[in-house]
Amino acid sequence: MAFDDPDAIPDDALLVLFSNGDASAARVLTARLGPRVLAQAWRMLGDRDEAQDVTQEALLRLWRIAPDWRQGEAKVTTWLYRVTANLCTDRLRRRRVGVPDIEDVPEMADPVAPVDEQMQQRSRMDALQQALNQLPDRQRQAVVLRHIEGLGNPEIAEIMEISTEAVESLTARGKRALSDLLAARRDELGYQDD
Amino acid sequence: MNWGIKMTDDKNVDGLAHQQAGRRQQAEAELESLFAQARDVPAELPAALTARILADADAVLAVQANDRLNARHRVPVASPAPGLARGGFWAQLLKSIGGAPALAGLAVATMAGVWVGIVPPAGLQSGLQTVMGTTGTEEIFDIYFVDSSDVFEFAQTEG
Repeated sequence: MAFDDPDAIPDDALLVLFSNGDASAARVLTARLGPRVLAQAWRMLGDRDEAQDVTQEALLRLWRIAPDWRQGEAKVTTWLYRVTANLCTDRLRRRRVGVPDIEDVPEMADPVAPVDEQMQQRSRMDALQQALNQLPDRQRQAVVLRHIEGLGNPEIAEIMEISTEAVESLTARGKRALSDLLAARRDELGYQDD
Repeated sequence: MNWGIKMTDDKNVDGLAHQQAGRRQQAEAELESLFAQARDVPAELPAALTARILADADAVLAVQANDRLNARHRVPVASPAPGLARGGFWAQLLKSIGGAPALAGLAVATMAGVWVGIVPPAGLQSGLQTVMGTTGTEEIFDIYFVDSSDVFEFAQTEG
């Protein structure tokens, strides 16, 4: 089945189409949700290969749950963020997060920026990821969901299965820790005092 | 006690606090800027990963379609007809007479019958006399064409 406007179809309706045997629904869902899952996993794990494995596993779980999905009960994205967070937590428990290889950092979006500016942006993204890697798992998860994925506190609370107050506390402590970690690298990252 | 000597300069303390607050604000602004840059990074799925994900989706669809097909063509497992007792002959017989309680009742009735036969109550004998018009046990045996002579007597007669 071809969709006239796939973007107009809600996630849960696409899941129903998929469970009815429509493979093209999987393509739309993958294009829509896959990048978010990959970004979350990469920010949590700091490792591209592992993030890709987590993305594949999270979406596989989505395909499997499709026939049992109850429309209107939960947001597909919330469910997927939670599955991704749990998969990342499992992997983090199994190993100690190392400093990510600089080659693992995604390319920046702005292709017309001058080369030195691109390099500076890239080194800042590396520094952010390295600082994120040093946070405790729960703080990192809350900061990534709140400040990079842009989710609201209630949705993060649902994903992490904690109260919104606990989310606020985790993000506040996480941000303070990140500021302290990055403050030591201000000169290196090209920041100057006002 | 500070002996009246002023330990710190209030103006310096205020200035330091102000400076620290300024640095804190600056650090937060820089962090917000980093977050914004991170949000702008387009996370695109590598083609190979997309292919793996869609292959999984196809495999899941194939399994689900197969399950549906099997469910549609599944031959129902033969179940025993309702009312048909399961088990062997004795189990079926026991069930047909009403189970263990009925069997116990039957045993008691049988024992009572045997006992009445061996030691008939007086009331029963007088009732029998009334019906049959006899008085002795031998006569009763005669009625039933039973030879009441002792086997030992018979052996003596025959020699």
